[in-house]
Amino acid sequence: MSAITVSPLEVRFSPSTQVVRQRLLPVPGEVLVHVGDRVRPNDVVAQAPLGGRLLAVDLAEALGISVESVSRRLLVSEGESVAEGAPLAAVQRLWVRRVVPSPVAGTVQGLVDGRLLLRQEPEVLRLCAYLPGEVIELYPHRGVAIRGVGSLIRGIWGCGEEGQGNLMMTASSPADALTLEKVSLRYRGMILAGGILEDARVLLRARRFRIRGLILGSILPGLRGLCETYRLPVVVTEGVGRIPLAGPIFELLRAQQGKLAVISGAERDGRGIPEVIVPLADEGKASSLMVVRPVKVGARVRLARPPYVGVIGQVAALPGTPQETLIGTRADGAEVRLGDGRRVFVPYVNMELLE
Amino acid sequence: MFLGTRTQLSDRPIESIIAADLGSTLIHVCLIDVVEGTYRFVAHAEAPSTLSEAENDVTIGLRRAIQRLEQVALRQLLDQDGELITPEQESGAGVDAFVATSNAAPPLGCVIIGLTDELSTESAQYACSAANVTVRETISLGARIRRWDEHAFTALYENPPDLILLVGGVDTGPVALLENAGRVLNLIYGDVEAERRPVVIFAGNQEARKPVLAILQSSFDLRVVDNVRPNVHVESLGELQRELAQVYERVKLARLPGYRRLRHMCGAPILSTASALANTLRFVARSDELAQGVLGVDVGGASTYIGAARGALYQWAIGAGLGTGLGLDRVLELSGVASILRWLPVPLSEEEVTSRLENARLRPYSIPQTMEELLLTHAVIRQSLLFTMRSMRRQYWYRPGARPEEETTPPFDLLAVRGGPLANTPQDGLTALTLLDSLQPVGLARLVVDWASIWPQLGAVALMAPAAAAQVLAQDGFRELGTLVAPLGEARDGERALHLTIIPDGGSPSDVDVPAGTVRRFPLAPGQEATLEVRPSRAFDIGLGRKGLGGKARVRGGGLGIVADTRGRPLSLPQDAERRRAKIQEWLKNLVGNNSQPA
Repeated sequence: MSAITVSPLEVRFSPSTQVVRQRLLPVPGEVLVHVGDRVRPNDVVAQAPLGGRLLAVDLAEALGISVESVSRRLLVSEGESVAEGAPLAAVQRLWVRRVVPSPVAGTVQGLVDGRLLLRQEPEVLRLCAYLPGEVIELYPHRGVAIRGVGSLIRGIWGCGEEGQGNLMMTASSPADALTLEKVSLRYRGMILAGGILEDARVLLRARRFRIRGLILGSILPGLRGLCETYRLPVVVTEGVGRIPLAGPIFELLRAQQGKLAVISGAERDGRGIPEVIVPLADEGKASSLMVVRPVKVGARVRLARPPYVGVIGQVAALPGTPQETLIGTRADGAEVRLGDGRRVFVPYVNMELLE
Repeated sequence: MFLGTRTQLSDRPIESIIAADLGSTLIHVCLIDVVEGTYRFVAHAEAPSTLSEAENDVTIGLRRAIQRLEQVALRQLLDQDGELITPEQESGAGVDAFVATSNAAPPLGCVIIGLTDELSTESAQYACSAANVTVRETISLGARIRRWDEHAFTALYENPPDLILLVGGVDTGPVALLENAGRVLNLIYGDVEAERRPVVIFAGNQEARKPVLAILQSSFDLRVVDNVRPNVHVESLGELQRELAQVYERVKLARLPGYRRLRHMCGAPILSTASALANTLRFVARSDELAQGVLGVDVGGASTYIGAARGALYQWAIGAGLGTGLGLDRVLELSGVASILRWLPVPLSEEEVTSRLENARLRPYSIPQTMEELLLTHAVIRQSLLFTMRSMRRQYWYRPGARPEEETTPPFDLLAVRGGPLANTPQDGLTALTLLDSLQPVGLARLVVDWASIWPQLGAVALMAPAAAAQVLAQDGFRELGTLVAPLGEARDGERALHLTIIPDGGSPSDVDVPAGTVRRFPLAPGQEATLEVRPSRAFDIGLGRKGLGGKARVRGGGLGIVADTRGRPLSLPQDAERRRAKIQEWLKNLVGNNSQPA
């Protein structure tokens, strides 16, 4: 029989670890680097042609004619390539000739109910390294794996794309709000770290000032949808509401201020995990990170559900058999010593590891 | 290599089985074995699902669940390489068979293309509500729009759905619009890689079958089923519903990370949890000869299921994407926070409720640790069930011309309840109140819980070892909460609604009056049976079709005993927030803890 198992927990934070990231194209393409190459975040490691977008140009509406008569006014035919601005259809009314130009360069797909379907020219997708480090594996036609060393913060929620920039801590304490005044033009190109996001205008200003990303403890519930409409990378470490940044994360971000960091708001393929990596120069000491690992006595954990939401504690004992929670549910878990000295039982599913 | 062993089926009868149900939040495994000549449930264990990027392989969580099962059952099940030992060894290690069910995959994203907003399109929507399908968009090509618009192109092209459901036209009707739709789909997806193209199901006018097939067959994975509206007065959903279930299993379940390994180790096909649970509910209705049938509900993290089995008839609806974990988003989107708040007996702000629910969604494996959090989870369960019950009513129980107060749940003999959020609630009274509020049953019904999280697995076991499924279900499958009495009717709060006479077998009879507008419980211990005589007042009908008409029935006890709900149907909550909270507190107090009324 296997040894006594303890539910493994997700590691959400590590001050120094080896990180490996796969960089894969969504469609087959060309890999531009080799195993052993050193790469920086902006280096292109692979590229692939992507099918152009499909556009529907409403010719009936643009020409002011019936759907049925559009086919007689067409100046292009199915399969034909057209340049941007090339006439697609025209109508002559008395001495006025009305022409509909092509909004993009592309190929005519066909006519549907008065709308001309145009496929834009294919684009080249260039996949950047994102993580500075060494190429350790190559997947022919698909991409590479890169290994680097750094401090790793894995968010609980994120949105937006990937970015890089120097870190700037705007909060003087983990519970500080990231206010409008703190988003200054002098932080252009940087990644800002703050405690709590309460004001929608901060997002707008951050985008306008070309801030490269936001690291937050929490955001108010109404702001999640707004965040998702922007491409600005946002990583939230604790959750929704007014939850301060976890102490160890706050301290690390403050200590690393000014250093280059990479951020991913994470919906890479819809499955990514939002994260911030602060690359470290000294690659010798870091061990590789097990994203999920068994909890041990003495481990530092963050508690995730009320009444202890956001509280950091230390595992004091592992009972080994299911225990009762405050409301009578029986669950596997650990006894955790809180900062105020209390010792409480918390189910494993309600805690996360901080290294 | 882990769990690479396919269940070995030898001539020897299957005695020991591990039956797993892999959900989006948790993986449940149960050990079944022969004990003193009968198949019995031996042990249960669970572990969080491992579908997120950190691990991204469903079999990792399965191994953890089986390791836990080893500890609970004190029996070796995995070998040193982590592979399941099959068949069972002389030493008692391992099991003879492994079966699995799953609903861990997200619902199919579907776009319905129809000729009008009504008739066929409505029927297609009903069919989807009985499948693990989320309808993202409905494109109507009928009289109102007459042409494909920008929105339709965007819906289909920018984010290709998993499935396009093409419907419309009575048989022998015109075919031109459907042919045109086929050509448009070819144009839109002409340059899209084959693996990103949606599956297309054609369930429209039979006359259009041939031309639509000719247009789409070479470019799409095309399925043709019966027209959902062969004529204006007839609806035919059965074949489409079966096809939708198959497409879910083939397209979504099969794409679960680790699915291939999982399939390799199974001795029977991996059924969707819904299909397997349906097998079990049908079996219960048949074997227990329940004239009014079984109403089964399954509330999970990411979907909600309701199935009604009565004789040969089986009706079901799936609340795809509705649940207490990943499904919280959709519940919030459909309900709004206010609808969730109304079920809480404590005052909480909308911001507080939204934050808590969003945090629970971000950590779908986490569980409530405070009473407030538990009550909030139950508020979400109520909303998930209300939405799914709405689909049941609309699809199966709709009576043309019925007034809202007449739109009630048909009577059932048994309410069978499962799913982590309900089955793991320590307070049976809270579970019962949630079900009374959302299902709003009528008449007399037994209430049972799938305490071991085993019902769907037994539906899968039945395909391989029917005797094992039947014996385990009969002996170990149910935890009895008691018997519900819920009359139809209305009276002023406090006026007498029911008079109950409870005559326990071997005990002395007791008489109680139950006033209108409340929920009360009267003790009748688990395993104890009684004769219950119910005499309603002239304002109430206990399900016999006439107000004031009383009756007698044999009833079973349970954790709650006999529960009387005299709040009337449909349930109406006080508008005033404070009064409403006070009422819910009163009902909870009556049902939770030791607050049973002396009978």
